[in-house]
Amino acid sequence: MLKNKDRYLSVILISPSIIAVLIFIYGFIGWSARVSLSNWKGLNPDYSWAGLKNYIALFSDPRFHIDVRNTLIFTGVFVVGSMVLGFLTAVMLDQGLKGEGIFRSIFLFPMAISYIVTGVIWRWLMNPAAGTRMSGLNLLFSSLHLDFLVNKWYTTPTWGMAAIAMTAIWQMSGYTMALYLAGLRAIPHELREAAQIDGASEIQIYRHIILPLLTPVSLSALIILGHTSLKVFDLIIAVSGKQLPLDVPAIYMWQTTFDGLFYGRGAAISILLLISVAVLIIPYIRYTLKEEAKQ
Amino acid sequence: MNKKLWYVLMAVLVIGSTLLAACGAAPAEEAPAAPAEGEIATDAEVTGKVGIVLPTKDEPRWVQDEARFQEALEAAGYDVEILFSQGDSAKERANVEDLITKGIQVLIITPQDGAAAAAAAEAAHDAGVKVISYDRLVLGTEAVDYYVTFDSVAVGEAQAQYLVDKAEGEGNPLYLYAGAASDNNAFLFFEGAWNVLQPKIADGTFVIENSSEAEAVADKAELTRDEMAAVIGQITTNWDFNTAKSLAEANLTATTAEQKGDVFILAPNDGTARAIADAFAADGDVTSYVVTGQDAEKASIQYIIDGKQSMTVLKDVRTLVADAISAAVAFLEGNTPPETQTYNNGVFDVPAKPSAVVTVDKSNVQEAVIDSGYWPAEDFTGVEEAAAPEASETTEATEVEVFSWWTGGGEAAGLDAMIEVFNKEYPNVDFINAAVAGGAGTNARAVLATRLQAGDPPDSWQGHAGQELIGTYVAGGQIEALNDLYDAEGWLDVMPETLIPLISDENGNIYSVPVNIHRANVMWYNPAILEANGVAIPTTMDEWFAAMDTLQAAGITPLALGEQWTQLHLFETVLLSSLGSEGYDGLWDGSTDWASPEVTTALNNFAKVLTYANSDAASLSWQDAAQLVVNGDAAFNVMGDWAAGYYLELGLTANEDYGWTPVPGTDGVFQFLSDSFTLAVGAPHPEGAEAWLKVAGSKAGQEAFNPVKGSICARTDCDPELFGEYLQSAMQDWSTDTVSGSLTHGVVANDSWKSEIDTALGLFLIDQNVEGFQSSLVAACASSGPCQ
Repeated sequence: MLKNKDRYLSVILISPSIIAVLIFIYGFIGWSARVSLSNWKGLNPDYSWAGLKNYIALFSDPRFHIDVRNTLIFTGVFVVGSMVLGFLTAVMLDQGLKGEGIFRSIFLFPMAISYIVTGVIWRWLMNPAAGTRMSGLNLLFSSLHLDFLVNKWYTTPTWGMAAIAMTAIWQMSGYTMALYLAGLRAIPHELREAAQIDGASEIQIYRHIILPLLTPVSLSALIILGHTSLKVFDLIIAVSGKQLPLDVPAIYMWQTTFDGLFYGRGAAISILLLISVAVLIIPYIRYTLKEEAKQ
Repeated sequence: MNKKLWYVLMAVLVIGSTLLAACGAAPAEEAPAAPAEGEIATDAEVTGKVGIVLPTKDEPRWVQDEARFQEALEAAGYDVEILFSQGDSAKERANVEDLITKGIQVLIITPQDGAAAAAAAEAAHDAGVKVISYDRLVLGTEAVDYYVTFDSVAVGEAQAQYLVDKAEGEGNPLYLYAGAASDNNAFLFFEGAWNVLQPKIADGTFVIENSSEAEAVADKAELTRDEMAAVIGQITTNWDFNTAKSLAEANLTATTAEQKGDVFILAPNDGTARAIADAFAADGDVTSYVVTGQDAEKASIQYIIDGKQSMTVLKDVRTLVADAISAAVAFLEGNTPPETQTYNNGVFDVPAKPSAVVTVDKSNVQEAVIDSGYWPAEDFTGVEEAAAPEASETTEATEVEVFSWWTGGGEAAGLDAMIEVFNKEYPNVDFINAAVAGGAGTNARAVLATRLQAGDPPDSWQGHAGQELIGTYVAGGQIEALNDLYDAEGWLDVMPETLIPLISDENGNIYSVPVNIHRANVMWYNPAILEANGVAIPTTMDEWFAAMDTLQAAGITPLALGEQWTQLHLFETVLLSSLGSEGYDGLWDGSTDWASPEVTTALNNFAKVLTYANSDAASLSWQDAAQLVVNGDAAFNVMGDWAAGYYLELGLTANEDYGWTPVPGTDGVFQFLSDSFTLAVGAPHPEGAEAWLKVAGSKAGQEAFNPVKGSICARTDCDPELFGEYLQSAMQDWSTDTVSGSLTHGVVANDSWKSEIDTALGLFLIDQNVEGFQSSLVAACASSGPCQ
């Protein structure tokens, strides 16, 4: 237990940030929640009570269905892709090859770029034009006689979102790699040696020793990637602008609020986004804290 | 332990809630339209032929008239042939007969000799040709249908009125001068002046100082020819400035100091006015003088700017040409031109409506002489100083913040040009350009919406005329009505009648100042592709489909299309084409049912049009799509006329690299959009905002802005000479076509409705379900349109 004096001091030191957080985070979350329950449409605030009308309308809104589907596709491809790719590159780097530092840097570099830049570069690389106007990756594939790889990328119906997820994988797999590499380095060598002495194959070692020990790392990666993907916005805007086939909740929220002045609906979308992120994150926090408590 | 849990939770929620502050930059959509120039194929039918006979090619005046007639009549779609008499009445007669055999329906003639031309006029009249006597009257025949002229009496009246307006109190010394006693015009000028001056002489306002003959008849309102001759004989200048100068000096010698002081001088024209003014300025007893003039000669304009001559009367020959043309057009269309006055030619009274003359003094010299293009500004010194002091008297030093999304290309350059005009006229108002880039204004509008809610409006902001303005800002009570400004500036006379209702509420309050007009329903095509495939320019939906079938069979992409908003743009033009302008307009006021079978047909047409488009539309900007046409990768592209500016930027040649036509089925309809500026409720600098709006609505402001931006003026009196050929033709169409508004660009639907339609379109692009599309459109009208 802290001494009383120290306690007061800590409260005083921390209070400005607590107050700021209370106002600017929770205050506005509360305000958004209130707006989401109102009929506000147009430039002037209208807080008249609408109940859950905005939410109910969203659940039967075909555009919102597309948003949810797109988010699921994006999240699935992005999270799985980043984790698999990140893990594999981490394992390779962990073999102690020469120039590891250079490779590590190369894999990490994309993370230093903003999503907007990534989006603009990939918009060009994934140019879906065919025939004489072909360019970017399609032109590369075509000139390498890999024509089966030529495709419409992000303009593919239904699965176009996966192409966008690919660009996100390009950007974030290096980060996942770094997480896994740190995890791998933290595993005591003795454990591997013991397993080898017991006659386990490399695959068995990874399957039964290393992967279980990496569970906390995997969980962290999952949470970080998962919540990024739920709120993805800038990457999509940079690649394709505001077009429905690649719509996600964040873009719908922006468009309906600022272009269409449906403030109530926009607020409802933002609250749903908050809830979905919270559903993902809160159990993880509880779990982490419990683990720490055990130790 | 619990405490720790809370801190961590908070930290995590901080991260989680950053999604509330989603941010990013959208790629530019509707980008800069640069100055557009080019040629347009006139689609008006040639319905008549006009013959014109002018006196001589040796005087520049008539050569200028030739060019003006030629250009204006051809632009209006008429055949025109112009011949010169070269000072020879016999040649004049031969010219007229030549024109008659060529089948003219109207003859415009300026006789070399009024009496000698009678025979030619009769020959024309007998052949059923309407005869318009231009600037000089054909005498001694009834074969004259109309007379176009300046009213010499009105010139004299304008001169005298100016003196009367400047005079205060009683006993003002008045000096009269006239032209040559041998010239009938001198009599007409003096008659006009006497009409106005005589009552003011009778009531003692003026005292005549230099003419005993005039004093003798001072109580007579109307003078006989002989009385007038006596007066003019005493005060004649003979139209000669040496004579004028010595007469003025003689008068000044003969009068006493008491008869001088603040004097008023009627001088008949500019040359004599300068001579007389010099004489009066040199006299020590003259403390100030007001002197009239006539003809707006360059030297006199400089005198006016320098304050040495008070006024002149401008008889703009271009007005005369324009009046002659409208008389000719009236005859061609089987109407009679307006008649306000008659002129006796010795046989009968010829009907006429004298062309307007303009009084020019220091306060309007910039506008009337320089801005109107009568004389170029560089011929004078001190022009700005002449106009500036008046402006700065009315405004305190302040600032104005103007919000727009004009940040690149021709748009930004146009805004800069208008700001330059503003800075000249209001040097003590600081202009703050609060333009926000990106997304065809969608980013700017998001910023604006936030500022409005925070109660921090810019003084004036850009809004599309129409429902974007009325259904959004006016409905939100965010902008002020501007009726007083419209009255004060006389804008109701110069803004198109079709435009005013779109920027007014149902009570007739006008809410913004439009600066430009763009056309949305333009189809751009590649002339080489069409020719190679034997495809004619389609004028109906069916012809368009047939043309696109042919092209598709030949392996050419028929239609270039870009990202979603360009598809919404295409959609509105197809709606217009399928429903006609009346049916289309009805969609927005509720008189056309969105669920009707006509709309179903329109949607099916749209679905069919989409099948001809390039497959990678979603990845192309509007510029990319427009470029496909000129690169030969596609045949057609539907885009607003800012595409002309883009093509110009690319250095392409009109009617070679690209051509244009109204979207098939929309010929004769001008689907427009217009940018306008507003006055914020609670504007921090209302005086500055008003000054800005005055410039935005002024001829000078719009003539500076539009040629650069690549649009036409919202005002109807901009000088077509300043614009390229495409824009000149757009000005022509704008004045004759039926007008409908654009959906994509904010005219017909408010922001909410438009965004719902955009969503419905997006869903349709995914599922291609026409029935579902139509029911979403019906629902959108019910939720945000007039269909509640």
